[in-house]
Amino acid sequence: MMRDFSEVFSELMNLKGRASLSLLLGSLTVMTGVGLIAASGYLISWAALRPPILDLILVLVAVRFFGISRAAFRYAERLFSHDLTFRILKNLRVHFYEKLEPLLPGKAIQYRSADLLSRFSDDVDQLQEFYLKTIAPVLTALFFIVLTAIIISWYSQILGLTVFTLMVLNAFLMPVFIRYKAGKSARDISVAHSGLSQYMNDHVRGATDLLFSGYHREWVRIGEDKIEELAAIQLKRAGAFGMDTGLFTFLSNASLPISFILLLPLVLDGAISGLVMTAIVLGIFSVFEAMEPVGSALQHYIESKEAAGRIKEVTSSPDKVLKESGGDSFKPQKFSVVFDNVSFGYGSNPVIKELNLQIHSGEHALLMGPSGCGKSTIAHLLVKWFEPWKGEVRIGSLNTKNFRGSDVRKYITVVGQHTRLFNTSLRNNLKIADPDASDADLVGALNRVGFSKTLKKLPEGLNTQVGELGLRLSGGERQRVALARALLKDAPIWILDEPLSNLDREMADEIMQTLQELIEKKTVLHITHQNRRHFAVDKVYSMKEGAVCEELAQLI
Amino acid sequence: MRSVHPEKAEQAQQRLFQDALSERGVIAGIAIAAILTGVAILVQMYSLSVLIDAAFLKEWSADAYYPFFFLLLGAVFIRAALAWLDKWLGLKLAIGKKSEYRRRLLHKIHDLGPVRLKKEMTGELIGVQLNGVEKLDDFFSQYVPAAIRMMTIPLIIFGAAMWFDWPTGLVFMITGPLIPIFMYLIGTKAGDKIREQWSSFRRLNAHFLDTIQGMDTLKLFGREKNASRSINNVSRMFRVTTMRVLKVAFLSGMVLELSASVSTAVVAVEIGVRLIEGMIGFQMGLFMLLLAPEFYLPFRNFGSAHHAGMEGAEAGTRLFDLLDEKTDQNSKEADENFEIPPPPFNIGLIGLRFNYPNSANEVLKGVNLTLRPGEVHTLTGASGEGKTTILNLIGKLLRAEHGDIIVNGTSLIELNIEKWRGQISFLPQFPHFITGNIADNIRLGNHQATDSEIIDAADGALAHEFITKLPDGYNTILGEGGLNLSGGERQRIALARVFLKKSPILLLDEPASFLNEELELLLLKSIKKLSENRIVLLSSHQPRTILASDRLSILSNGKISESGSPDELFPDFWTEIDTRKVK
Repeated sequence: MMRDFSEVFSELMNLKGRASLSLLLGSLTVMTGVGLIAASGYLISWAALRPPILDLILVLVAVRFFGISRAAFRYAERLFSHDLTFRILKNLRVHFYEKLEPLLPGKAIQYRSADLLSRFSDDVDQLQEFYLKTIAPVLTALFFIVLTAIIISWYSQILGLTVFTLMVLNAFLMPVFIRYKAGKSARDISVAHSGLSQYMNDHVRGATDLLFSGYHREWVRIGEDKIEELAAIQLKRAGAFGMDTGLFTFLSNASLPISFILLLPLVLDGAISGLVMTAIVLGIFSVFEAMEPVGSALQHYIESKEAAGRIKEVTSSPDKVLKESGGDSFKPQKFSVVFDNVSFGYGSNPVIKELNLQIHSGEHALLMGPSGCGKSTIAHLLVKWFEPWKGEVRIGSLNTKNFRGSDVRKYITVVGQHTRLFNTSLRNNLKIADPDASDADLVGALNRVGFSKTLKKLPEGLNTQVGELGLRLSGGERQRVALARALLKDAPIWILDEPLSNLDREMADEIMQTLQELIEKKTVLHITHQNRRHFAVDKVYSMKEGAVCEELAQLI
Repeated sequence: MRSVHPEKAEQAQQRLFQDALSERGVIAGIAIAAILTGVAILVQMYSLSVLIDAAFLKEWSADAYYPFFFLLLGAVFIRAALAWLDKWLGLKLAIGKKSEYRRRLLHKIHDLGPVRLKKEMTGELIGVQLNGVEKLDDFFSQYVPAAIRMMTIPLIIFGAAMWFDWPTGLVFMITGPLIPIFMYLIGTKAGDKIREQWSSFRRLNAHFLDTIQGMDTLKLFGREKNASRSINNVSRMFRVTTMRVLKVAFLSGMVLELSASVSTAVVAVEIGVRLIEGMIGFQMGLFMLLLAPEFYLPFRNFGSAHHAGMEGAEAGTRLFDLLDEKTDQNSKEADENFEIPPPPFNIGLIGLRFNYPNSANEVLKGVNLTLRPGEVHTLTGASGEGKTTILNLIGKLLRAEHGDIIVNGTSLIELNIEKWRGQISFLPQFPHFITGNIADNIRLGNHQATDSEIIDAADGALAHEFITKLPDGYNTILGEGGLNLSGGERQRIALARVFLKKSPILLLDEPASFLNEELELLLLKSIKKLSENRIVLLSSHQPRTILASDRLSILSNGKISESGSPDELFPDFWTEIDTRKVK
């Protein structure tokens, strides 16, 4: 069952020194806690016999030591274990990035799942806690169960065995039992959850369809019923969780009367002193502190297992993953683009069928068609996210199949509908296109694409943080950044994939004007579903469902 | 995920807490359970101290132990039962609250209407509904009960200590209140520091996701190999900066632990000294010592539930943002109670102006248009000119700021929104299918429709033929995880709803955009047949649709630039393409 975590373990083994230290600190925290209570009990029991105060000095020191050191150990343990967790996270991220990198973006496009990658990232985050929340609590609990049993058995074997049983029950058997009890309702909950999620999806995305259906009142009532249904199942499970807490409280507190009753005959016989009894009864009670985190360790284990499974699903795909082959360097003499009888699809159905398309070097072509007819697929094939099933994609006279995707992409610039800005400075976002560019080059490029006015307004100029968590640029500004990147890359072939569709009319006109100047001498494929706002082009292709591609007359 | 402003998070936390307190019954239950727990602890520790004292220092007969032993056992049972009850009540509170928020979200989403929703990013909305609300669980089930326990149990223990042995009570009194004060001081100081670094935290931590999501961009610029190193560096930076903050943040936890354990040690020493002096009996001394950890436990539990409180606040902020969103468009308007005049309708758009919020430029700058029954009227113009906006305005999905829409002499504003929508069939550009089969989805046009009516409607929309060819026919499941239909097939199934509803007004947004030439012409014939006595308004920029309509209006620069029959207008652009087609 640990095979799912082999990658986590191998990252953990690289850090085993730190892991051992953090385990040691964790154990010391528990030990000093137990020591404080036991020593305090011992102290006051002894004091009750009214010895000279000097006899008590050692116990007094012990009480004081435990009182202060416990918090210090706890603090150190928390720091070390968190530091370790972040180190594990770093290694996991690098490891999984390297596994994922060759598969993207093909995989994400193919699955059309917007959250594939954010789930992947969440899953990697989940695994970072595998040590902190699963391994460490279980090891610590095991250690203390064995240690306590051994020490207690020194005084009373029956009590040793009883305490051992109580603790194993508390830490391991009871969580499993509760899981088992809650298991059925957990499945029901996940069914109800996904039902509600489906409903919400319909409720949000189908809002228009539903409003005009005359059915929406009933529809909302259905949603309320689904919410109630989920709540009813959750309430059922709440009983099991309550029982969990109740049983934990019972088992740990029951150790008090049980250890008392088992030690009583020994005290009455004079086999052990009352001092020892007080210390043991109080000490056992506080060892249960180490059992508490194990209950949630099981839950974390299950979640981590699921996360590891999903990660594996993404990274070890049996899909036709694009193999990067061909060592020849790709140096086309001309920059014509030819699709020769190309067929391709993401699943088993073809999206484009026997498609032919030809753009001469320096020619501007327009490709029109409704959304979803496969226009963007043409762009995906040209930049080699995918290989065609059949037919050839040629640049110059070279079949791109025989070359590395990264080499082919050097000759192509894509300006798309959404421009991705990374969560970093504007400078870094531009330097992606040309790492060697100086600030003057960057500003020059921004000026040429009409960004200079915005640049002046930015609080920190090129250092301004942009992207999701930084400053939000408007759609038009983002497209200008995209154009500046394209300008810095200066590739001979440009794909314009709906670069204007997210902009309002005035902005689209401005961006179009800028673009028009930039692409003058390039080979251009402009993909759009719009009718009027496009460039002066040399030829027009029209696509319909089924990927029929017909060439229309020259415009203008 | 966007980051949440700390001040807003604090407000959200207060609001959540108030919402929790409004559940009087459950809160009272939790409070009573906490008070009884306090009493059970007193009985438990008192009887234990009597038992140990007897075994240690007294010569009791075996019978004498029984009452106190069973008292101890009973207290343990009751304490466990109360812990069970407390947990269950906390979960019940959380489940009730989650349901309530879900219901409110459901209605809110309905009230906001489709046009507003589109702007709110549908994915995030569904995320708030499911994950966001679920994240509130710990707030209600852990944080709130922990707060209640912290306010009751220590007080009871403190009271008992003052009653039985006031010097120990004094130690509790001095150290007890120190804990929350320390926590507050250090918590806010750590909080300030965390707040200071919050944005850089988020950025560093989001870097991995940012990188894999932007892989296409990285690869297009040939930077995918550098990214591995940058993940390594950024993750290290993330660790270093986070640890710097945690060093301070964990101090609050340490102070809590320290005062708990030092106070226990102080109580032990203080009692030890008084025992030697003979100022206190052993049983009483042990009782006090046993109470000490129990006195601090609720504080420590609250400290560890604090995290749940913070997370809840963050989830709550997003939730309240959405719930507080104003619903200006579709709210029940006081003046819309007019009955709908009987059809057939004549609709006039007069000087209609509209601009979307947060957009500098007006989309519609004074649109005048007359819609008469019996003719197929097509709106055309480039994307972004406002064709869909006009359809939304007529469907009352949006309201114009200036100008008016007149229906048989009455202003549209005054007409009851639900009844008005009952007169309209609306085909969105990208129709949605609810989870269910094809028949269910067509039945959205008329919930009472019989099977044969559904087949007739599908036939009218040119969908019947391909549906019957599907392996499951009309029972084919659509929606998430269902059959993947092509764009044209989807369009025709959605159109079947229109044919089923047979309402007096049809608003069809690009009804044939996915269809090939042959189907497009057939569909237009079918729509033409339906248009008798009905208002039919299409938006389209397809030449064949345009040429086949009875009346054509061209939108350009926010106004209707030309209107008339296609024969009169001959929109040169499209006819040129159509006639000069080469093959």
